[in-house]
Amino acid sequence: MTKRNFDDIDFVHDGSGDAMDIDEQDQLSLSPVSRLRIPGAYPQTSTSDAQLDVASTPIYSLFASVMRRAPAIDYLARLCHNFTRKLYRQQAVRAEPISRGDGSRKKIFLDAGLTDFTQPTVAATEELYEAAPIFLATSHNSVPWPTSPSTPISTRNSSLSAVTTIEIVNPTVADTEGLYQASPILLELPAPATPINNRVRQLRSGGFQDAAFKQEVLRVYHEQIEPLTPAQFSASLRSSTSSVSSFEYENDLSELPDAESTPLVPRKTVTLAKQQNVKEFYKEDPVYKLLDSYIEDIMSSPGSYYNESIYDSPSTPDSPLRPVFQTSPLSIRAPKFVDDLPPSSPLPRGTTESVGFSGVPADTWDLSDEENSLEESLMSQELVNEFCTKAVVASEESQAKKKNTIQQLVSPLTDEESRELEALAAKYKYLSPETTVAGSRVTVQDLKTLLPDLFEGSQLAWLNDNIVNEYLTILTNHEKAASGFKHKRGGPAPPVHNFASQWWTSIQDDRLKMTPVKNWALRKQLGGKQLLDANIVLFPICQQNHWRLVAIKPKDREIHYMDSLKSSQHFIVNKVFEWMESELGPSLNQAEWTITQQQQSTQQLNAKDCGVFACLNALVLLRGEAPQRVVASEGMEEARRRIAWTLIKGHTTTEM
Amino acid sequence: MSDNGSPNHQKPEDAGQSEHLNIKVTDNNNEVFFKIKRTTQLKKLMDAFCDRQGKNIASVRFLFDGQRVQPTDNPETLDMQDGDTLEVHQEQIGGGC
Repeated sequence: MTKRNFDDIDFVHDGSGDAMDIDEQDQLSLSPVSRLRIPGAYPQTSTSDAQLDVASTPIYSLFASVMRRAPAIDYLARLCHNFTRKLYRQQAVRAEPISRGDGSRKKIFLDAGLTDFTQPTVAATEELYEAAPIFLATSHNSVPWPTSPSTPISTRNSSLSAVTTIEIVNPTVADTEGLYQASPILLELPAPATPINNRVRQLRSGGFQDAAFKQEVLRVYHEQIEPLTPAQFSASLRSSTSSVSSFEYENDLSELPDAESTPLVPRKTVTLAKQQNVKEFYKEDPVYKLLDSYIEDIMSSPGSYYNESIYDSPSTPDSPLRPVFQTSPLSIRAPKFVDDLPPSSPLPRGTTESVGFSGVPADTWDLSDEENSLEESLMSQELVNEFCTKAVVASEESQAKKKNTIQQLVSPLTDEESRELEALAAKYKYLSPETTVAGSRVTVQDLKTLLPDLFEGSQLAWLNDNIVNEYLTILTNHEKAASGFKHKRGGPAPPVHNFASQWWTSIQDDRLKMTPVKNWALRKQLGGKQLLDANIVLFPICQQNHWRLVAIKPKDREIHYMDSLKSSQHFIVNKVFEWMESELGPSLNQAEWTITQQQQSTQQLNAKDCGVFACLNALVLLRGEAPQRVVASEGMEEARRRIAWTLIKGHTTTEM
Repeated sequence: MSDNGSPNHQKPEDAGQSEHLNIKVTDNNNEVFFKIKRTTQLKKLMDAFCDRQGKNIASVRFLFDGQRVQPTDNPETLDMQDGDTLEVHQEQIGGGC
């Protein structure tokens, strides 16, 4: 059998018999089939169709010749395809599905990036994995990456894998806590500044300019991420909501009498409630000064260093430094102490010459006794230093005491006061809630809100109106008494006043305008234009279970809105203006009033202390100090106790 | 505040001051009128109002022209006139939420 197989295709056009046969048969215009039957053309044993040599047919040879060029054609087709792909890349809109708490879904537009859908490559997936940590870095969670970067995933899915990973957040939390908490975090993801693909491409091509960003991405990418426990998760939620800046206490001493002329760089320290009274010993101010003064002594001549206004001024005879001067055996400005100098020729001040040493004036040299004089003079120099530093220490200590009382806005209760307060609490806490405590104006129920631990009140520890109102009244009464003011019908306006917190609730009904409070100011000699004579008028406001303080300074034409949670002030300030308009009438010129836009109040650390902050902010304002003096602590226990003590006593205790 | 400094705990049977006052007590929903003597402690009035309205006296505040009324006050110390109004407010609590 001479049947050809496919391997012989190459010989079709070799000029051997086959081609000739085709030409001959074409000339005979015979059909190829009939030609097959021509005897002698092929050595055939059978003429059945099944045994036809297909490879020898012209159709087949045509097909074969095409197939022979197939790689080239295929190559051309691919080339064309690749070329068009380069020209027309698909524009893909990337969106991220967001699951909401109520189960509804929504898509958030992320970017319109150029994605390569046509060819799944490892690079494409890597790109995504590199891009994804950017999401993670901006979210509050650290969630393990679900699959390793080497896991092959189809291209279409790869564009969505960032989405799925972020959704992973939900099950981790939901499984352990049974809550669907992660959705708010997803909403917080900021949209990337540039489309992620571009950034990553820049990153990969090495053309990325922002080295810090590159490092950050790499750091996050290589970081070992551990799943959060539910507790950590909720903690991170909480910490993200509470402002960190409230930890920072600005040590502002600029209003002290001995403040340095150069502005102090504010030192930021973290003050814990239990440690705020503790000073590290090496940070005591006197030691600072001691070292400074000592060095200064060495560096400079004593003649120029010792300040004559302190040492020689007769106006300070009782200065602690005076005896030092008198007892010091050596003083260049008091030649009577130096035996060697004739009294008739006192050395004029400022003409001391240094001999050999800087810091040792020439007149301390005793030429008659050269061996010992230097030693003596040095020793006496040390003596002077010692005396002086002692004096400095003494004066600094008294200064430090003063500073301490100023620094602490409210001093904690003394041991004795604490004991008394606890005894009162033990005595009253089981009495009926409306009982007034120890003849004061506050009841057991009020104190339960202020000191829930002592009085066994609700752990909510939300202050009630009586506490805030009565405390502010005590403060303003103190201020009124200090300036010799007494409320008298037809009399002058009080310097300071606080309206009850019910003022706010009374003016809520717009139909009534300001009629419910129309007599309030009048009663306190603040009606009409008299309002403008007051220095400070305080409005404690409890709106939606949150205490805040509005203070108007009519003389300065200022409105201060103090809020320990930074809520919006417009609504409240507008109401205050409305009220002032009802009092002042057309003479109210809103343009001359300034409203502090920046929130001045220290921010609270939890969800229960705002009443305390309202009280302390009032205290700060009345004392005319910086609002930063209010130091936030968890629970504000010391301040609460001080407030309670003042309320029970009915007058200020160390506050003013 | 009265300028003659009359004591808070003045007995009602005190002679010359037995003048009566009509006082309206309102909590925005209800209005109750009371007729009391000038020197009667307002505690009586407050208790009566709370009893009537079924309120807990520890959780309501009585205010007269922005001034908190203590149970030991009386109309005279508060300088009240005939027909004046006492406002009743609910306790406010707040901590921040």
